[in-house]
Amino acid sequence: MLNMNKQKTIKLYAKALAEILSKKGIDEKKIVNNFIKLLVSTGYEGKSKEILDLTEDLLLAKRGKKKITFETARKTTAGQKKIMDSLVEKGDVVKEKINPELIAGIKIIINDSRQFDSSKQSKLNKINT
Amino acid sequence: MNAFISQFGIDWKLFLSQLVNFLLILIILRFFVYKPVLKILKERNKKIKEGLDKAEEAGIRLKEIDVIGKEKIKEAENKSMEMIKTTENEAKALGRELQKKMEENQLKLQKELQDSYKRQQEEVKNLVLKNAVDLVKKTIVKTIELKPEAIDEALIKKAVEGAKHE
Repeated sequence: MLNMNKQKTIKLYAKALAEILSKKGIDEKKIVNNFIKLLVSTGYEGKSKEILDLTEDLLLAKRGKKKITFETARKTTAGQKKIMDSLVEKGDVVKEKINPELIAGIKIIINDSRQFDSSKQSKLNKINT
Repeated sequence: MNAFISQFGIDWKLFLSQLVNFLLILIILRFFVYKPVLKILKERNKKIKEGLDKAEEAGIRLKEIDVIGKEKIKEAENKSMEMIKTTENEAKALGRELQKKMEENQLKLQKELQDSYKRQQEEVKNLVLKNAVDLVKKTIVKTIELKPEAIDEALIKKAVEGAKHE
């Protein structure tokens, strides 16, 4: 019950911050600083990462943009990067991660909800199951 | 009469004295022999009669005891038969119960063996699969190590195309 209330508050904070940040002509730095002070005073500073991630998602959704995570087995080459960039539009937030467990290939996660996995690890996992 | 008596040679005086003697002896014998002997005989007869009565009574008692004994023996026989029958029934019930338990144990053991066999089969299967996967993984890694960039590029292209057309 307590966790449910906390989760509700986190969503509420993220929604409020996203709402303010989506307005034009505002001092983003000042707003974020004030917001962090609010979190400290209400005891939610430990949840700041979660709130900010959620805010980022809401903002991107509001702007019609995507958050894309590219997870590769090793550092990508220029040619590979070019192929990956063909998926990225202006304003999209891109994150890159190296995970040798993938063996080869890539795992693309869009908005933390859609996933495209062409890694060898997933193929081996399929054999396992 | 006197002639007749004298003809037989009877001397009256002698006769009388002998008669007195005889009576005296008779009286003495009666007092000192006949009565005590009669008393002894009476007592003996009494004892014999008592003995006979007792023997008869003992006989009756013996017959009664015999009847009681026979009844007791019959009763004991009946009880024995009943006990044998009860024991027989109990033994049969115990036998049935033991048979049932034995069958149950056998079934349980069979199930345990089957389960154990299945578990072992599953373990072997998993081990074989794990080894096969490891082997495939090693082979893939070795293959990829030859041309990692080219393989990565092909896979990245595939994933990006998938994301674009989704």
